[in-house]
Amino acid sequence: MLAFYRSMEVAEIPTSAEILETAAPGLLRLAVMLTGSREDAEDLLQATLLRTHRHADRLEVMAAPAAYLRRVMLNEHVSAGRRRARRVRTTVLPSGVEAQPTADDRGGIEARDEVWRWLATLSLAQRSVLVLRYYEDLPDVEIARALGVPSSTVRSHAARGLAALRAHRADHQEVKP
Amino acid sequence: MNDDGLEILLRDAFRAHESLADPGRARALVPSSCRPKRRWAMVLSNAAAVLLVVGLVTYAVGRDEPRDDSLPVATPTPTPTSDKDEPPPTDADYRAMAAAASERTLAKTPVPEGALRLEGQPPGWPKDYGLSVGPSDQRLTRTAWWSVPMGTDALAEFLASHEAEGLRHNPGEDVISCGNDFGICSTTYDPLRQNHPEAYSEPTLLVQFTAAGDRSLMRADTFTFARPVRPLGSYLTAPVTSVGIDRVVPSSQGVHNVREPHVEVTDPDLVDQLVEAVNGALRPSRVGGFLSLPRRSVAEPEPAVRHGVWGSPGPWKACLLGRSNRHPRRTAHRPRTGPRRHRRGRRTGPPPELSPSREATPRPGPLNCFRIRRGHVLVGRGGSEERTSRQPL
Repeated sequence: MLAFYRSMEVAEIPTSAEILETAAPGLLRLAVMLTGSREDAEDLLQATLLRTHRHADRLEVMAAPAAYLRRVMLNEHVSAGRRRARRVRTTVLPSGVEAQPTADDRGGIEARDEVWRWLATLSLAQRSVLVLRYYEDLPDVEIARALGVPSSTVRSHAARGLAALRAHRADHQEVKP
Repeated sequence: MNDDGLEILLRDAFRAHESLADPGRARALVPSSCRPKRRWAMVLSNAAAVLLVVGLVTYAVGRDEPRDDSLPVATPTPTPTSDKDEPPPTDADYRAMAAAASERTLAKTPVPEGALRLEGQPPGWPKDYGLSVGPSDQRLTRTAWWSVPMGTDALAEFLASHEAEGLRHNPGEDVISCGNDFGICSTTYDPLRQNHPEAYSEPTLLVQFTAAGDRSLMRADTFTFARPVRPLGSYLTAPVTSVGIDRVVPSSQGVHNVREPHVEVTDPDLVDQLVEAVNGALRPSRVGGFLSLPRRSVAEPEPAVRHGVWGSPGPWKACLLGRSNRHPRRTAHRPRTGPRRHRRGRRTGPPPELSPSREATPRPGPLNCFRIRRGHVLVGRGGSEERTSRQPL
């Protein structure tokens, strides 16, 4: 009987809804990194999910639905960025910092918040590259594939981004005694 | 600053703002029309098929057997109940407990006589200034404001000499810390004990103040986080023989990429302490300090466990290895035995030899893996690195 019942069981292939629900938290984190604010990130995630929803059944047969969703989000991000004027939010929010920060740690928090604000001044493509490289930890080839640009462009964006950050840090430290 | 330093800064900045993404909110945004569909039909059809077959078999068997009316009729056995039939706690319960603790802690703020409680953020306090203490859930933070009839020096003296009930100033740093760009001073009060460590981290109280004419503006914030309900299976019961530690880099897709270095700890004392730390997440642990990792250099002969993850970029994952009667998890940690290729193509050397007995130690299976985020506190060997375990594992 048990064997008979087992033979009737349907293989556990995740449905598109399950795939989306599993991927949603990670996508929202990525959206936060790309947009810099919670509100914009939720808008971006919603746009991504709606776009995906139109062909949600395809997710179930994809080998790497997560990569597909990431690419949809990146496309949405770039498209949305072209459509609307960019907004810069500079709210300083609590960070996931170490327990009992010392004076040095607090300096670290300030540096992180300063870098976060600086990221908002970058172009969408440049920020996307930095996010994918240093947050998603993707190799340049995958970043290029996700953004639909050559690898050389990815390397160029990354190098210029780091150079700009270095210059920004130097300026900031000059201003701040 | 070189490229490595900038990379670390960028990673830190990203990681520090992960808290902006609420996983629950993300799941809620998934279109409801995309929820699992038609599965109930599958379940119903399966159940109907099973009932049909059971019915047929029962009928066929019962038909051939002589009926014995003298046999007692079987009565259904009542489901055993116990006095402890309380429903298990939920994440929401823990959050509610954390919120209540946050409010209790805020009420303990030492307030000088004559201070006037304000409704909200007063003018004169920098708008974009924020400071947090420890890992915390912003939604559980409670804030209060006062206008205090004394200068900042007098207020600093008052706060330094007054401790809230159940809290104390952190002895490891200056009681009052000043000197940021905004002219704001602050002091923190740490909890003396964890009342419900399984549910939440007892809140830390941060008091900040700045001058406002001949008075001072004072602000108090609490910082806490609720823990998720922990499944019983996450406790370690089998003997643990070694601990493998990897640095892992999280990605938005939920995949944690393992990065060098890999470290394995076989020192029985340290392993015991780690096990206690893992299981002790549900209770106050007697273990203090934090998990230190050895340097990568093999030139250091002693199996020194000295240099901590403190300040190292990226979270870490530790797998406690041992022999278990449970099935190993699929995300099993596989100890490496030779050189491995760095994911970006750079060849790295073999893992450091940490213990002379390492090679002789048989490779056991994984019992439990957990992530150690930067600064997360585990165990150590005391000395100048003494800290208190206060982080979730």
